[in-house]
Amino acid sequence: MNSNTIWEKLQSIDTRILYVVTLIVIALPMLFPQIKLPIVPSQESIDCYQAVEEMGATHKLILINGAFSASSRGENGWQAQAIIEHLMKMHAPFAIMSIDPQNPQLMQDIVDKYAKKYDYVYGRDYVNLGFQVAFAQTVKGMVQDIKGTVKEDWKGTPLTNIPVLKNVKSIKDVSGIIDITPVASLDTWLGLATRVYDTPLVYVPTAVMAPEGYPYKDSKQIKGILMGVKGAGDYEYLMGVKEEGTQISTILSMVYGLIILLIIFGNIGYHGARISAQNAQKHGSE
Amino acid sequence: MSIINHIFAPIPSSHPLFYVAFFLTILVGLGILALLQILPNQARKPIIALVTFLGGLYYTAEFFIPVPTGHDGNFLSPYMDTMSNIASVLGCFSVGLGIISLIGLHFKNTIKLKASWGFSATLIVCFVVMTIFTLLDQYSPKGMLIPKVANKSVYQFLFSGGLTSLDAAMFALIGFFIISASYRAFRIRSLEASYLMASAVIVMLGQVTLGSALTHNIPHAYDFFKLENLSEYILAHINSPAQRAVTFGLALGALATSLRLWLSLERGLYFDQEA
Amino acid sequence: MDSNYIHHLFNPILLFGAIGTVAVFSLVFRENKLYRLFEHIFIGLAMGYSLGMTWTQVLRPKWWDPMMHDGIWIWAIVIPIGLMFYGIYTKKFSWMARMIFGFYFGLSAGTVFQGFAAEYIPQITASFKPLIASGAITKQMAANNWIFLAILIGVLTYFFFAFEQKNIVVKKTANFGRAMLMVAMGGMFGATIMTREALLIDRVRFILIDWLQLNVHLFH
Repeated sequence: MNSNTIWEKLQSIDTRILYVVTLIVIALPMLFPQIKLPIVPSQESIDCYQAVEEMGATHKLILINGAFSASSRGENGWQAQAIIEHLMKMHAPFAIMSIDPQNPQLMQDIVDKYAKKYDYVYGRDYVNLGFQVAFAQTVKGMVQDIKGTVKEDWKGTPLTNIPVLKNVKSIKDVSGIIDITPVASLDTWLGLATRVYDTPLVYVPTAVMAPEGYPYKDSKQIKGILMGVKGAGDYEYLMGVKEEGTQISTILSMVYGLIILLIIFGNIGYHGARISAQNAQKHGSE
Repeated sequence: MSIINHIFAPIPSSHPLFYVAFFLTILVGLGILALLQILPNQARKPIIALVTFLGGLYYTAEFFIPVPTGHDGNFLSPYMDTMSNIASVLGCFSVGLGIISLIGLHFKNTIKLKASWGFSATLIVCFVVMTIFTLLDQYSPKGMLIPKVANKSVYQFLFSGGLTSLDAAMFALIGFFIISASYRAFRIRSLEASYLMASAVIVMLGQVTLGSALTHNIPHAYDFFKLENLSEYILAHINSPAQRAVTFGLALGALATSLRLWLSLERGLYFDQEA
Repeated sequence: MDSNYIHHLFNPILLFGAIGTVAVFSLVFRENKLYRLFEHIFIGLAMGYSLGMTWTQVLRPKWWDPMMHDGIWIWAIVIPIGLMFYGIYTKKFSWMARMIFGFYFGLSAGTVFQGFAAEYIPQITASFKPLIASGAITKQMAANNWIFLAILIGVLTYFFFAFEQKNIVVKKTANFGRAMLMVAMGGMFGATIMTREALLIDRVRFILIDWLQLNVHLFH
C-alpha cells in the first residue's frame, strides 16, 4: 500500500500540530471577544432558573451542595458563580456544604467575589458548612438535624451561633437543594433527602453527568438540569449578565467546529484509503 | 435508657475523672480487640459477618420500622446524627492508609537514593508543608502565624497557585487527548457507529452557539429541525428512556448486591479469603 | 509595559500556577522532567491538603471538640476501632481491617434500601405515560409517549439475558433497543466532549487572561 497517498496523508497529520491548532482556536475568541454568537437557552436551563427563582422567593434557606474540586472548576465553577450571583440578587439566604476537601475554599472564593456588591454578610446571609465525609450518612443525619450532624461551620464556629441558621433544624426548613457536582451525588439526594419532605432539587452537573439526570427530570424528581458550561452561559443570559460562562460557551463552539472537522478528515482519509485499497486489489486480480 | 445516659454522661475535661474514663475506654477497646485476637480462626468469619450485619442494621431498621402518626420519625430516628458522626469520624481514620502507603513508598525511594529520588523528596516536602499551612490557616487567629508573600498568605499560594492550578491542569490534559482521539480513533465502521456519530454531532452542535447560528434561519414551521431543538429531543426523548432502562437494571443489581453484602452472602476473592 | 503589569505578571500565585500549567501541558508534546516535578508537587500538596482538611473539617468538630471540650469521653472508643484499619499492614491483625471494612459495607448497604424506594419507585410510576391524545394530552405528547415507551421496552429487552432471545419479535425489539442505545450513547459522548474541552478552555483562559491579561495588553 502506498503510504503517500492523499488518503494516508489525511490520516497522519502530526498530533502536535493539532494541539497547537487547538490552542490557537481557543485563544482567538478570547483575545478577540468581538466574535459573538447568539445564545439560545435550553428548556432545562430555563426550568432550572425558574426553580431557583421559586426557591429564592420563599426567603427560606437554600442548601447548596458543592461537590467539585479544581479538576472540574472549568464547568462547575462558572455554574456555581451564576447561581450564587442569582441568589444574591434575590437576597436569598443559603448554606454551602461540600463533599470535596477543596470545595469549601473554592465556593468561598466565588461568594467573596460578589459579597460586597450585594451586601452579603457571612453568618447573617449565608454560611459555609465546610467539608463533610461519609456523604450518604451526613445527608441522612441532616434530614433529621442539620446542626446536630454538621455541628460547626468551616472555620469552627458552632452552628448554634450562626444567625442564618436560627430557624433551621432539618431539611424540612430548607426551601430547596442545589446540587453542583461532577460526581454521582444525585442518587444520594433523591434517595435519602428529597422525598422525605418533598424538597425541590435542582441538578447542576458537569456536561458528562447531565444525560443521567434526564430520566429524573422526566419523572419530576428534579426541577431542572443546568448542563455544564453551556448551562452556565444560558443561566447568565437569563439573568441578563455576560460573565465567563458566556465567553466559554462561544469558545466551545469553535473547538467543537474543529473536532467535527477532524472527525470528518479522519473518516474521509480512512474510507478513501479503504476504497482505494479495494480498487487496487480488484485491478490487481483482473 | 436513663441508666445508659447516666453511665455515659459527659464529664468536664477539667475533672481528673475525665482522663480516667478516657484511658479506661481506650484500654477496654484494646482489651476487646485482644480478646477477639485470641478467639480461634474459625470464629473470625462469623464475627466479620455479625459486624457487617450490625453496620447496616440501624439504617435498615430505621427505614422499615413504621413512623407513628403525628411524628416525624420512629424511635430510632433521633440517633441519625449520632450514626452519621460515627460513620464520618471512623471514615477519617482510613485517610491514613493512603498517606502511609504513598509516603512510605517515596520515603524509601529518598532514603535509598533510588532513581528520581529528588521527585520523591519533593513530594514529601510538599506534603509536610501543605499539611502545616492548612492547619495553621485554621488555628492561627486571622492568619497571623502564616507568613505572607506579596500580601497573600503562603497557604493561599500553596492552595490557589499550587494545588488548584495543577489539579485543573491535570484534568485539562484530557481535552488534548480528545482532540487526538477524535482525529485518529473515531471511525465510522458500521451502521450503529453512524447512529452514534450523527447523534453526537447533533448534540454537540445543539449545545453550543455555533449550532444555533447554523440553523437560525430555518422557517418557524420547521422549528423541530433546528439543531438546539433536535439536540434537546435526543437528550429528553431518546436518551431519557434509554438511561431509565439502564437505571432499572443497575438499581435491581445494586439492591441485590447490597442485600448480599449486608447478609455476608457475597462470594469472591476478598470475601472468601481466610480471615 | 507599566510597572503594575510587571508586578501582576510576577504575582507568586499566578506565576506558580502558570508555570505549573505549562509544565503539565508539556506532557502532550513529550514526557519530560518538568512535568514529573510538578506531578509530584501536585500529589504532595493534594495529600497534605486532604490530611489537613480531614482534621480541621471533620475530626476536630465532630470528635476532638465534643470529646475534650464537651467531656463526651465515650468518643475515646473510636481510637481502638479506628486503629483496626491499620491492621491491614500486618499479617496477624489484617482480619481486623476486614471487620471494619465489613462495617462500612453494611453501613452503605443499609442506606441503599431507602434509596431504592425513594429514587426508583417514582421512575417506575413515571414510565406509565398516557398514550391516547385526549384532554390535556396533545397528539404530539401522545406520540412522544409512544416513542418513550418503545425505547424503554426495547432497551430493557436488549439487556434481558435471563433467556436466549430466539423469537423474531424479541430479537427485533432488542435490535431496536440497541440502535436507540447507540443514539443515546452518542448524546452522552457529545456531552462528555463539552466537559473535557471546557476544562482545557478554562486553563488556557487562566494563562492568557488571568495571568498574561492579553485581552487588555496585547494591542495596547
